[in-house]
Amino acid sequence: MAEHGTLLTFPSARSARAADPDALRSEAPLEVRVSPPEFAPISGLQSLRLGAELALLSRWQFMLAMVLSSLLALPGLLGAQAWAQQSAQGVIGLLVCSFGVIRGIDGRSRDRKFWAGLGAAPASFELGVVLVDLLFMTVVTGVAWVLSPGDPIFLLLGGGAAAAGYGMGSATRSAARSEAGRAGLLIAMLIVAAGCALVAFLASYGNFITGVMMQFGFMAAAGLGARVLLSGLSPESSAGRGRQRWTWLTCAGAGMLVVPLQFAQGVPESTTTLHKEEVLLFPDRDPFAGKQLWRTTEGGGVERLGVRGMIGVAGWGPHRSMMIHRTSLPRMVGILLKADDAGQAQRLMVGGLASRLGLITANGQHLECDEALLVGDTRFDADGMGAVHVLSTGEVWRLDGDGCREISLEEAP
Amino acid sequence: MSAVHACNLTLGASLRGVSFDLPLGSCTAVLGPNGAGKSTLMGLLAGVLAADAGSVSCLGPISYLPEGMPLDAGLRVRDALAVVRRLPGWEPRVADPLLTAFDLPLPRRMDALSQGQRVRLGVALTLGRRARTYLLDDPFLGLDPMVQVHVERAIADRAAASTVVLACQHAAAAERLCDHLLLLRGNGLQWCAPVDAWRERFRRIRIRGAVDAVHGLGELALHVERRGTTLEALLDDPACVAEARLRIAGAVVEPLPLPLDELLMAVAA
Repeated sequence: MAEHGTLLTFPSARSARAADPDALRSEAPLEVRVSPPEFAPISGLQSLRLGAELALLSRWQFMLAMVLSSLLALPGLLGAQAWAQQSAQGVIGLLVCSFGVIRGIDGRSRDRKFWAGLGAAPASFELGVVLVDLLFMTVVTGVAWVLSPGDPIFLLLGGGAAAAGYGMGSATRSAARSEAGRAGLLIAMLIVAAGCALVAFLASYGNFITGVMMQFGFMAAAGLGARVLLSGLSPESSAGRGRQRWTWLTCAGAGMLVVPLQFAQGVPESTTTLHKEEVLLFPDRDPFAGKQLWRTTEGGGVERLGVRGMIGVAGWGPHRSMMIHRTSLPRMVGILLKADDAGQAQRLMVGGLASRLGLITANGQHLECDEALLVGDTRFDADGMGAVHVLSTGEVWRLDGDGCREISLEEAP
Repeated sequence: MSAVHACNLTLGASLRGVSFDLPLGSCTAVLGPNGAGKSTLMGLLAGVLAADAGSVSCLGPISYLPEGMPLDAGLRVRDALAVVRRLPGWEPRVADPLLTAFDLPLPRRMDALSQGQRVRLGVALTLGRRARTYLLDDPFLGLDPMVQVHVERAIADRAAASTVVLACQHAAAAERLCDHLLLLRGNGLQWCAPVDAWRERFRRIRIRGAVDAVHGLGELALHVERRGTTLEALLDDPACVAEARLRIAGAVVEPLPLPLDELLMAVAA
């Protein structure tokens, strides 16, 4: 309790002596004049509606302009060139992404304390704002998507990046008061997220777009979850006054969740027929599959092969043995598989593309060369336990149970 | 019964170990120099800031006016009014006269309002709702004297039936409105007591005649100033010992008014 003796910069000895600290305090309550209000407090649903309504009212012009900008995709519907359609999609994707980032790090959030002070539930209020923003981003992307007859890849990426930027930007709110501070943190988050993405893509998804979109989704969910949760704990966290300063790092690292998630995925459905009774299951054709390569077994079941990574090309030999090439360039996968679909599986040449050569033997063992080798002619051993690979440069490589080594043409079995 | 109870409230370096009780139906002025932690305390009472330590309870529902009324810059005045009018507890009987007196530019956005206009809107929105506790952080910020009169009347009206906590730098207004004073200094609580307690402890007097007797008062006299043939003294003298001594010494003692702002300045000095 207060010590009234310390009121003065030079407290009198007398007042200190006389000081019963509570002597001057009125312990007796004043006459009670308060009548209880006869209205219900603001409910969670009302708070949510309040947040949504205020978000719309304060930004409807900006939002309308953004929705109108999605009409940039209209020429696509009228039969414009593919490049024009893609450009329009790219612009719209960038606009949506910018909107997400700007709204995420938006520092005009100190009004939260006014509404919370009026009795609105802060978490519900924040959820209302978030829902309106997400709905708006979806509308802009959706309108452009409907108007775009071609591949909506840029819209997809733009929408995903917008959600991720919005989520991550939101997570910076509890850590920095100014927009500049938040933007700096956002850049730091992007660096962390990019590191996570690298790990995720190396370790998990065969399909680049799927991996990116899933990572975007995780980061958006983590950031927005943190924003709603923190605003419930302290409404001022939206204005950088919270003390949960490391939340942003947690949210940035949320992209790592795509790594373990792949193990929950089942067998991919995209297939390539090897022989009449054998089917190779290619993860890169299934957007939600991991990087493992699968093939059907003779009994009709599926077998997970001991190899991971981007499968660029596969050639198969007798006894279910298989030569594989792994590549780090996801776009090449599509090109090579098209070649495979065209019936050129036994002899595939990929000029200038370095890849790692591997062999899956008849008994399922995985052998791989450490050197980066070009795709060339492959000749399998009759028993399916080894192969000879001849490059266009004349080099001959042997893969078998003894490993991978360069040999002379005479040494080849 | 306490309407507001704070126990050992601490938030970073802004506020340290603050404890007090405010009775139901009281009107309390939170005073203190800039940076003393007034707004932080109000935010903690309103529940919009989370304390590092300690506890706080405030009889609800509350209605809180944050310092400077920071509403979203893109929001129009009429939209803000429309939204708050639909919330439970809105009382047109109180709010409408205030809005009329404040003459707010309804079509304008928040970022086009002056500080005073934003505070006017905030006061109307805050006091226009019925609540058990009103927490007003600097409700006179940027107001012109004419409007301040309206605001003071509205606060007094609400204080008649509710608990009001008012943080401000206007000691004169606080004195007119409040029956309790809470003084923050150095990010801690120095004083929380009814105004009457201040009046009983500190007095200002004019001394005629045996003015030299004032030297015998020692630490009872906080401040002494010569005005011609008379002396004016500020006494820290809850037991009225000083005046008795002066009269015994033959001095004529005349009580002088002691406005709160002068008292605070003298005490702070």
